[in-house]
Amino acid sequence: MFPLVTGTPFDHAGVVFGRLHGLLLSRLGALPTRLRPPSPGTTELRHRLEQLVHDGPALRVSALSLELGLLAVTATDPCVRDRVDAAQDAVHLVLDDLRRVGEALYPPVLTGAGIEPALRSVAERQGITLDLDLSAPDLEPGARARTCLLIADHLRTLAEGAAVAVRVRAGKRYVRVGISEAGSGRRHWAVVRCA
Amino acid sequence: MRVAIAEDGALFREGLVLLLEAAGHQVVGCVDDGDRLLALIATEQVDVAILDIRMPPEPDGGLVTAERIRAMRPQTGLLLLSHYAETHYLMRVLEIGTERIGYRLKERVAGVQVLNDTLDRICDGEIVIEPVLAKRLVQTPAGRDGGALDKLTEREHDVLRLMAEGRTNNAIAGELFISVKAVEKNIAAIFTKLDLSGDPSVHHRRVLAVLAYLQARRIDG
Repeated sequence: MFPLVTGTPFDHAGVVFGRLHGLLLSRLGALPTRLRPPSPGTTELRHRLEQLVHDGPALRVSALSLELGLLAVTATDPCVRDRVDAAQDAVHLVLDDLRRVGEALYPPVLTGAGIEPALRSVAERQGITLDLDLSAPDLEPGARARTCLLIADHLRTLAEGAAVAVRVRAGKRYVRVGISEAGSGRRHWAVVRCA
Repeated sequence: MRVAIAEDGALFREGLVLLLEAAGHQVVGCVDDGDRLLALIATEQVDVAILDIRMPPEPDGGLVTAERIRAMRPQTGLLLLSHYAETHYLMRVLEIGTERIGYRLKERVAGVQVLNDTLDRICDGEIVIEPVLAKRLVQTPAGRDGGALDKLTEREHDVLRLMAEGRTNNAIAGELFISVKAVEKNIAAIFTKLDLSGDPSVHHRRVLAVLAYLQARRIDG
């Protein structure tokens, strides 16, 4: 017996099209998505802003903290001392905020230590397990910074406890980056042009 | 205590001098880069040198200068200060030495009591690590997945974290609300589990335990 087909040929074509559409969407979802690195200008600006935060507000507020520490030595009234302690705590919170801003702008150890310590630092703060496969010897500073910022910015979008594998391969003209997120299975890729 | 300072931020440098003097220390010199600090230490008797990590020669002049001071005057204590608590900086500090050395956030030494405690411990030959950094290292996923460290109980992990901060047994007991004897028992268990039972020096074993812990998270992380 042949299966009984109900409805018009148009209905049947609609079902087939719907299934194909769903299949295509699921396949597209599994395809790696492209990430865009920050431009050289943006990278330079972010570096300068981090230095400004470090050498300006962060240093001034740290000096203010010392001033409060000095005030606590001379204050004999317990009420005044309590208020100085409370002000110290508030100052520490401000510095924690400034640290977060600075770290997000430009990883502090990137200039002195390179991509790997900078990315490990970001992963550590985010509570992410990072499997880093990095082969980028003699990468010029500009491409190194843009590659690091591209990956660091993506790591910051991941939830705490996530596990991610990052592969970086540098050639003469391009740096190729691959990112795979365990669990969700999402994959990303990027190409950074060297100067 | 005779202290020398190298910090390129004038405001912070001047505030630190005032706080050190208020705490009863003698500031024998106050400079704005690593090379000048080296010249100062070559001619002056200094118990502890306080260095900003991020100062000239850039980018991390404080670390480079600390290395040179350690080679020139091994008995001089070193206190490295930074705006950031970075594992990379900590590893560099540990490479310079595990005795008479400290790494702390700038604002965390902005009290006479904490400053004195930090300087005293460095002078006594201890290593002082910023507590927030030690805590973060334990809490990271990589820090919880550390081979031999997996054998440690939760209590032993807490004790090791506080050891990593450079705390004494009394201080650990106070922090965890347990007896000093219980702390000693936990430390003995940590040494056994990390296979450090053979070393005769307790201080050396403490440092090795902390290094094993940091090393494990460096490899896995």
